[in-house]
Amino acid sequence: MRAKQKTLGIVACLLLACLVVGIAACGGSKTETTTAPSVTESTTGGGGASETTATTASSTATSATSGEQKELKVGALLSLDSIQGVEMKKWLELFAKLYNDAGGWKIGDATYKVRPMFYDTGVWDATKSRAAVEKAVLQDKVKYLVCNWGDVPAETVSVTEPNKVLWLGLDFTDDTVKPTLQYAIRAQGLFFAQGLFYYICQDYIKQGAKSVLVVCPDTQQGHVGAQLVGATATTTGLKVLDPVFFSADTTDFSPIATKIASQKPDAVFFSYVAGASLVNAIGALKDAGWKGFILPGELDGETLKNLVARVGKEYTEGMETGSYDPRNVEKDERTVKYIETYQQLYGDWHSEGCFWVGPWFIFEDAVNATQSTDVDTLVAYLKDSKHGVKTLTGYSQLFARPDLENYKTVDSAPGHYIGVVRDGKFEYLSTIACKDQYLSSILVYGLKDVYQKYWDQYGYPTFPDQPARLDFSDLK
Amino acid sequence: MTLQLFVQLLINGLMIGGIYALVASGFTLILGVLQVFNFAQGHFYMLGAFIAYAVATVMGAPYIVAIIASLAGMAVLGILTYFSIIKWTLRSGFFHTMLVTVAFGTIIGQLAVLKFGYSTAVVAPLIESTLQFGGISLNPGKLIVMAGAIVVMVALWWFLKTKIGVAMMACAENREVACLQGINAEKVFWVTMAVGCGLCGIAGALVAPVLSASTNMGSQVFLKAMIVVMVGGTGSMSGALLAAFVVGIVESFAFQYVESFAPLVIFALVALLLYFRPGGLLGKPLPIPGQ
Repeated sequence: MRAKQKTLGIVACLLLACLVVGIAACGGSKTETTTAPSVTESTTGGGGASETTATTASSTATSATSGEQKELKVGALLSLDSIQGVEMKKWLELFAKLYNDAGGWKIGDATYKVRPMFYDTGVWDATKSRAAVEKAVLQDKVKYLVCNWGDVPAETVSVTEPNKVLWLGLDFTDDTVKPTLQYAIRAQGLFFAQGLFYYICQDYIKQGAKSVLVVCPDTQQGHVGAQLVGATATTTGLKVLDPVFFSADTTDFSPIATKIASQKPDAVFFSYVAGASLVNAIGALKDAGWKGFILPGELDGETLKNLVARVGKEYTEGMETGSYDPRNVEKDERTVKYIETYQQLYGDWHSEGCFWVGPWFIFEDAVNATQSTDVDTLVAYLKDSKHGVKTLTGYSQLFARPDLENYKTVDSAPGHYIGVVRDGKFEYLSTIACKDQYLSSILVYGLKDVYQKYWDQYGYPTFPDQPARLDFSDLK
Repeated sequence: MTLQLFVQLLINGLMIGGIYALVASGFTLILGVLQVFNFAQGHFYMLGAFIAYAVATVMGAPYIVAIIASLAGMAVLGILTYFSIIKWTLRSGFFHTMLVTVAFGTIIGQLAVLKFGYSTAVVAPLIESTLQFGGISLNPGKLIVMAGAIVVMVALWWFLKTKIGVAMMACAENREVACLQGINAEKVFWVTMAVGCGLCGIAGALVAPVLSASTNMGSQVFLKAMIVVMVGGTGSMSGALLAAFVVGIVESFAFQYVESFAPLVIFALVALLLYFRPGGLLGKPLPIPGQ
């Protein structure tokens, strides 16, 4: 009897193991990482870096042996648990591959093999983030950290600054644009990114909207988002109702939708709500019988597909939204090649990383313009930037932050698309011009006097040649 | 508050209460009969929703088939879990089995993330239109969830009157005495796991067309299921049913006034209730582990 029970237990264990292995074998469809074939680095998990080939590096973070091509190590601090982190890794590998396939990156008199190095930071995990940046800077002697997702930038710059490492990254706070920092450039910031909401507020006002209610998760980001979106809406003339905050792990949005509907807003704007939460929240709004204008923030292809499946085409019709998908928008040869190469290498298309790899292009522009890999030379160039740089999602441009008494160009106005949902599909409307990102943000934050003083002293910035809705006269 | 708003909030509460009832009844059944605090219960609920998605959306089968598949799939997984994990740790005590279910739940959760990522698996609504009456708007899917929960609870009540159901209740009352009466405890245990996990499967399948399936959907519901069990009384099926609807309704109304502080209201009320009635509404006080 006991032997029979044991056998039964073993059989159950085996069946369970088969089930687990089966699921795992079928898995990975969403977060699969694919290494570009020509990027030949070994992959191990030690110390949180996905690339640990120890190289004794020179002070310029490049190494060369006689007769061999020099190597340009470009580090990226990424949360490889997130779709954004995984997608950014894929893009950075692709950029490196294109250079390496073409024989290397010619900088000055030398040609470099580009070696992307990835460090897993976890998701806003200060300890893991610190360990990752220390591994990159102190152990692997990386001199350029380009692109980041999920790290804690304040921790990052506390390591990069004393070691004179160039940090070109993303930060949701203003910690990395302080004038005291020498080597940090927020090459992917959201400070000068109020253009999307500004444009859509204007469009919805034209269609008859008078009041708006902002819906955000009850997180620090959510509260900042509610404040910014509310300020944008007020600036454009919309009446802003009390925002609704919800617990970030909410799955049943019925009480939230009922509360929203009971306030009778003309428009509902979602800020920092994405994926499953966004689909469920809009679905609940429909169930609550609310009809009006919706701004869902960003709608990537998959979320839109899910949303249409949940609420139907009719409910999404006319919904204006932001997008990071450059396909069918960017026509320049270089971006088209990037898109084609991505699809050849990785098969499925994901746009989650497109926007966030903007800092790579700013780095590339600086290296090409200066023909140097010297960190101080690159920093000097970047901090006196006077033009926009073409990224995967339009132009991105660095600007000064006189409101923080930082008169160097350290903060970016990123490229962004605006579109409308028609017949259940995203239809591109326009690209938000750098000029509009910049000027609308200054308007929204009520900083025109500070910036006017700065412009009086340093002159007006110049912008990429893009159609823009705003001009400096709008700030008067 | 207008009458329409009151009714709308009440319906929201009843709908989510139905879900809590299904998950909590499975949880309380396993806790009562096996004395296993099954931390993987929320993950079974999540898997049930994904099975429904796979059967109904990917394979295009009728939704009733998806519900049956979720029930069967989770029941089988429950049996496998019992024979491969629970059975071998039961004798080691309450905390061992609890920790094992924590580990098992974590594995299921991580595998689900690996398979499905962080995106949503949307199951198209069973009925597209929204019902409107007297200024109240209602998703028919919610009515199906409520009706489904009631039907399942009635079926469970009937099941507990059968021979095996009575044996389960006997084991819940006193395992040793039940065994002395000739009840096959092992059979009772694996059937309990099958029923408890199957209930989660049904809950997941019922809710998928309303809330979609996502990998994080289980944790929140599991927390609420624990509250429901505490409020209703450990091992009490009728208590779980009553408490589930009470918690759902309180949650719905609380959000209207205090938004994300709603859980605080619920916890405060639970603390108050347990102070005056440690055994919950219709149950006995929780057993002290090891005694």
